[in-house]
Amino acid sequence: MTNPEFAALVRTIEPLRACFIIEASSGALHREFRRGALTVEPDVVARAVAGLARAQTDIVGSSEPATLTTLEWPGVTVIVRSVSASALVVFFFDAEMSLGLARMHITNVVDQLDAQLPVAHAPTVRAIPAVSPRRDPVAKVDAPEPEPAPAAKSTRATAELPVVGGSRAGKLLEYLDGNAPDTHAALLRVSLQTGLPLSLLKTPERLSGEEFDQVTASVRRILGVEQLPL
Amino acid sequence: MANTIDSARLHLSEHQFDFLAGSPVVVHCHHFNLFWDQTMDDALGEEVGRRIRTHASHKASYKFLRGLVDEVGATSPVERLRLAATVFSAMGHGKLHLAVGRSGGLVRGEQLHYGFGWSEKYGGRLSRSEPADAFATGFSAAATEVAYNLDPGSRRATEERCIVDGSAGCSIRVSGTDAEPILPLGVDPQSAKEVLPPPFDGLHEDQIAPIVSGLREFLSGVAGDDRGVIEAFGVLVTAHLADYYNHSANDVLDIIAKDKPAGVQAFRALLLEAGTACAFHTFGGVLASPEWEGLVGPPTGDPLEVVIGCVALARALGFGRWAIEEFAPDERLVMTSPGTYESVFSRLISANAAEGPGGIFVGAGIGIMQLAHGVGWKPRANIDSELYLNLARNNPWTVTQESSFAAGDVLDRIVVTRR
Amino acid sequence: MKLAEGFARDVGCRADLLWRCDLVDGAQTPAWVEFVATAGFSSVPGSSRLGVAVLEDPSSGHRIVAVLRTGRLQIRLDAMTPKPARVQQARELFDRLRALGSQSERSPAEAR
Repeated sequence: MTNPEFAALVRTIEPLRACFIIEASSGALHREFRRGALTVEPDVVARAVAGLARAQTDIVGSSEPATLTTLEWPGVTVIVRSVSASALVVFFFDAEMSLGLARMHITNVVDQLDAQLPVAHAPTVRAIPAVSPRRDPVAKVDAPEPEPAPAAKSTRATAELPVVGGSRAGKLLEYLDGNAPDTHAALLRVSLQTGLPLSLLKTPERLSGEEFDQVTASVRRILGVEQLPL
Repeated sequence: MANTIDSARLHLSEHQFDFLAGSPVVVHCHHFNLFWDQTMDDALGEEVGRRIRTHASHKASYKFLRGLVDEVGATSPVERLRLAATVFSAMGHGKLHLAVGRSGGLVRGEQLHYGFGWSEKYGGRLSRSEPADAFATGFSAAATEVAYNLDPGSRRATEERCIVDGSAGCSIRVSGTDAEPILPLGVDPQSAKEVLPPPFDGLHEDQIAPIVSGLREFLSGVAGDDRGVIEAFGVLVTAHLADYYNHSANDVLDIIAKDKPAGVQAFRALLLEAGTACAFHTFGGVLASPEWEGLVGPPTGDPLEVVIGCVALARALGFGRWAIEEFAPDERLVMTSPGTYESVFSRLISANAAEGPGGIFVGAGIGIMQLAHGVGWKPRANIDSELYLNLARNNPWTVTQESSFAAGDVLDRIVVTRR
Repeated sequence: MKLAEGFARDVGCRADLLWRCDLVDGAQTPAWVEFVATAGFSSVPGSSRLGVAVLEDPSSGHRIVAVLRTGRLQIRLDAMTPKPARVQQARELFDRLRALGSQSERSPAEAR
């Protein structure tokens, strides 16, 4: 598929400001789509996220397809999605876009990308110039907020939990909020499944251990995953 | 055969209810249907939820099919089974191959609405091992009983394979059972007429009536294609037995009111959410469709025009004679109806009518106000899940049901205002 | 009877099944429908009650809904079209319709 066809595929996602397919090992830009001006050059982004992906591989071992990394920059949320051993897709969403919706769009796009993914050393749109990443805002790539977004498609056997602040239950419900289908109704579904009042679920720090277990089981059920490693 | 089925239609024009072989029929899309079933399962767990839904279908389908074979004069088992499969497809539920004898047998399903709709909507994103086609399952048991003149409840059915778990097709096993007989109760035209108050006009009837007429004329020609699929206005829809929705919600409510009372509030809220989503997606989808543009013209974005269109749609889809009592753009909507397909059931069939689950009329009030004020209709509307979620998260509207026909009031009346 | 350049997903409750395009001159819609019906598409009866014409490509089952008074066209892919194939099939049908639109601009002799 050509670059215009790739652009046509992602253009319909209105809150999407830019989207790039990057060859993971080299950082070469494979496909690109931009809606209006960006504050950073695509080439710089490509190089930086490829570095980030390599760092992640170094830290946690081989990068699984479907891994997500979320970066929150002023006015924009950047989500990096590993879609194969050799390809990354970088999505730039308006900051107002909820993470749950963004992930839904990502899933839809990635489902249609197979034929377009680069193999190692595939022809690229253009070569990556040897420039250093700008300090701002790309500098945040070097020291991202420790909020790796949960990654897996719900069809996977396990899902990853966020690791930033708040109670475990709070994080669990945040995760649900970001990943459930019909996300605005997800807490009501937990309430109905568990029989716990909505008011209690809205103050998750008040959950007892037993109630937390109930909520965990409910989240698993809604997301269709077998376990949530805590 | 299709003409035969057509002869069993009855339109209660004064109250905008549609009956087929004496059972009320409403049009709903796959989003609503899936959400509805999911809510039943959320309340009781997948296994019990599926059992209750199958049971609800069994009751509703038995009453319906019994009425149908009597009305068209189908006497032999072969004729009756053929009629059941034909009407199932015509209503957009997919295809059933009913290879059943008196003692039971195997039913093969193709494009069954729930399994197909679930795979279309969630396949690849979620995994599911529980079969999805409780309606087809209960229908198969009822079709067997009606075909062989057996007592209702003397056959049971279980979906053994369903495409939601990756199976190539769906299959349902029908067999004998010693379980308690079922009571195939449901709303019928005569008792609906007797219990409903006289209809009354609301505002803008002169604009609503011709739209309803045009929509009804169009919908009268809509039926499932040779695969049992209906796509009207570009929306995947079913003509569904209203008794199925009502039996399932009432039965679930009865159980959780005893066993899980803290979940009742969430259950009601989710049914209301189903109504909101139905109004937004189905009404909104139709308003944005080429068919609507041809019949009424492209939506201008005038909130009153949207409200009028939605009320006309509710009537044409068999929800009841919804009417506009008051509308102040950006402020307030008051809708009334001399009963809806839910409240009539509660009034006639439910043991605890005052506590009936309800939802469609009340929830739709929110959805209609979102369509009227939260959607940019020009140059073209973008009625999609993303917009819906955004509007739901920042919903400025609240709704109160001020009169409930189910609870004994003379009508249903809701008031939607800003929070 | 040309089609405008714009081609985008239309409002729909299922992914990528409905696509929107428009005739440049909406007043020509009835003539366009007539022309397309002679070019391998069959006319679906009964739809004009709603002020639309519906044409079907017999080989694929895909349909085109044309609003007679505005020139809005909707490509409605067959309900069973596999998800991965939808975008491409819609695009191909759009290209085919565009070509037909251009062909209709030429004189009958040229078109032959």
